[in-house]
Amino acid sequence: MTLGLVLAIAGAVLAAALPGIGSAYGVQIGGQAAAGVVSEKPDLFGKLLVLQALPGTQGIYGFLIAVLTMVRVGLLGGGAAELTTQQGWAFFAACMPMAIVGLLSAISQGKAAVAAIHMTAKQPDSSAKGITMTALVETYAILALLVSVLLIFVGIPV
Amino acid sequence: MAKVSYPFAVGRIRALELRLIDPSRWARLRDASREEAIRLLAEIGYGNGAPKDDPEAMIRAEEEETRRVIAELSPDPVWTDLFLLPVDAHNIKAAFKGKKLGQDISRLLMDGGTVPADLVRISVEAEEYSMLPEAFRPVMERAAEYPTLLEFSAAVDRAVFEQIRLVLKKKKNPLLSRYFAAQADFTNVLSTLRAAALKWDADKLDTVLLLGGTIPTEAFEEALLSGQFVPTLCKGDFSSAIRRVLEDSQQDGSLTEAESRFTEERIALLKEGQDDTFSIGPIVCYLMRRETEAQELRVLFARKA
Repeated sequence: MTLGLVLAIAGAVLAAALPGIGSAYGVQIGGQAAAGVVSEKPDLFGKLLVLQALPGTQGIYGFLIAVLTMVRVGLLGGGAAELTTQQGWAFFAACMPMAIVGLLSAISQGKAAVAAIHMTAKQPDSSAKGITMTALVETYAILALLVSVLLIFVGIPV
Repeated sequence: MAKVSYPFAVGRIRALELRLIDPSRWARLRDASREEAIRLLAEIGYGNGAPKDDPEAMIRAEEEETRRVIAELSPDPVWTDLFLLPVDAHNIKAAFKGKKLGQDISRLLMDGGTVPADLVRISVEAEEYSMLPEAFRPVMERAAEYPTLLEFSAAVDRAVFEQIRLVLKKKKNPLLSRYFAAQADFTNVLSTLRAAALKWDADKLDTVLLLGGTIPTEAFEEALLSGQFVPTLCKGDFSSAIRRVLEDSQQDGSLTEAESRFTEERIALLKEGQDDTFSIGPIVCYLMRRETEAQELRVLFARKA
């Protein structure tokens, strides 16, 4: 196994782990807020579940980038490519947009979800507005996902 | 017990805020007769199971339930306890008065303080004060030395603020430090206005002044002697709020109105932290709004009596 391959795997690991941690935190605080509201108003469970789930998408995007990286370097095909150190760093760098933005945007989205859950508690009819406001944070995770995907598939010759 | 998180606590508070009496219900309560107002309160679920024909019992039950909920869901009881100290002070005063006059004061005690009401009564009767918050202990140990119940009562009120000062010295909270400093200032200004109305001397005023405010102590004596409240008392960090209230109260001359305006100014200060989901702000703001609601209901029913 070359140093290049180790770097590519490290990038994939971070792409899966960091957004996963961020999403877990975001969904956790969203769940706490929703539990607080549902303890007084059980009928709001359905509306709040969507808001709680929104910060979970970054974890999925990170997982996707990790899998794409593994596919691209041949780890899932049975024969891993002999990557140079430069290629390894390139894969590592390609994973970073999703890893870093995924972590931070999931935490931010979790906080936005908490605020939206609290707003929905006071005005149940505003849940759609809350979902829209919370989903806007997602934009930056999607941009990072696109950058990582393009770099992995187009930007790095193997 | 697992620590309650802020998102959970604030989520529950947001749902509970819907039970606050809204402006349209206030309007209906004001327009209604006493019996209708009691029925309206009962209809919206106010009273937490208290007899539906006794507004004072309903208000009291609701206050106790609010304090119980706050104590149960507070992520940082050290902060919310500061708002429950006046209940301890009330119980201490009632228990001491009962002991001194040889009366049964059980019905005067209120639940929802930082120390259970019965424990306060037993502590006072047995003269064993180790269960009371720190700042109350020296006051209780010297309780027999106070010449009048008024002076004892003033000392207990000062102990509340001393306890708050002790806690905020150990653990910083800019929102609450500012709030309690404002409360001390506002209460001292009100005490000075009241002292002037009752023609007290400066020494007597000094016994009721609270610690922890931002107005220099000498300003109160100066205001009392000169009778010029606006120029002498509009000092410290909350001078603009004090000026607003004093200038308005000079026009209508009502101490009750000034007290109510100072309460509004205090709540406005707390509202600065109301939208911070990860702080104690929304929780204490809800507690204050509930307490203000109870006070306003008492005034409303007193007027209808």
